[in-house]
Amino acid sequence: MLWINFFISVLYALELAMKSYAYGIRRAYSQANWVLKVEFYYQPIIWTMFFIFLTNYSGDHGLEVNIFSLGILIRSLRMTSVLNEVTLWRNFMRTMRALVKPAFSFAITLYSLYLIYASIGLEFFGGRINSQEIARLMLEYP
Amino acid sequence: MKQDWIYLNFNDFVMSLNTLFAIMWQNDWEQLVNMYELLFNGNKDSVVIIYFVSFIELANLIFINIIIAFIIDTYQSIDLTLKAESEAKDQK
Repeated sequence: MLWINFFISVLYALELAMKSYAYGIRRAYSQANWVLKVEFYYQPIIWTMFFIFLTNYSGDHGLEVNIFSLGILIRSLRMTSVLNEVTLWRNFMRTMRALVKPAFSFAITLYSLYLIYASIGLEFFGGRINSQEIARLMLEYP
Repeated sequence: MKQDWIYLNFNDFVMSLNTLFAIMWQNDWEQLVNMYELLFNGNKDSVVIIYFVSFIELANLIFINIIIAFIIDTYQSIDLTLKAESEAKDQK
């Protein structure tokens, strides 16, 4: 699996090199479509190749690899900022921000209902389920 | 009766809150009601049924639907205002 990954990574790196040679890195990156492509498409490849290189030549230093894989994780989490480009996601987040106050009052009302029913249930069913009762139920109603 | 249902019990307060939360989503709640009916040997069926069904009526059918309707309503209003803004920008 590592070699398949390596082979495909080499192919994509070649494509990246050719495209950046043809269009120019700065001009390619300035276009919105290209920003998405570079963020989602090429950066993982570069980091994967770096990771493979590291695992092959770093020897027994396991800690180094862990730190770098953490770095890759943080780097990929940073890409969620690209979601702000999507209108649907922006509207959704705005809705959630607007809903904080009314949802809080709803949650308080629901929690009071929960408290009432939990106390009634505690009085009525509390302690009824124990090991003896379970054994009896399993025997009588399998 | 599945043995796993015993984890949804009312033995302490936190577990009863957990049980109510599980019932709220109506995931096989008939099984749980059946178990509690069996615990009383079928003597208090009506009380058990009234307890669980009234909780489901209140928590699921009313509260969850109010919250969902509220979210959809807010989303639609925000969507409409944003669309109006973008149209106004286009006209300029």
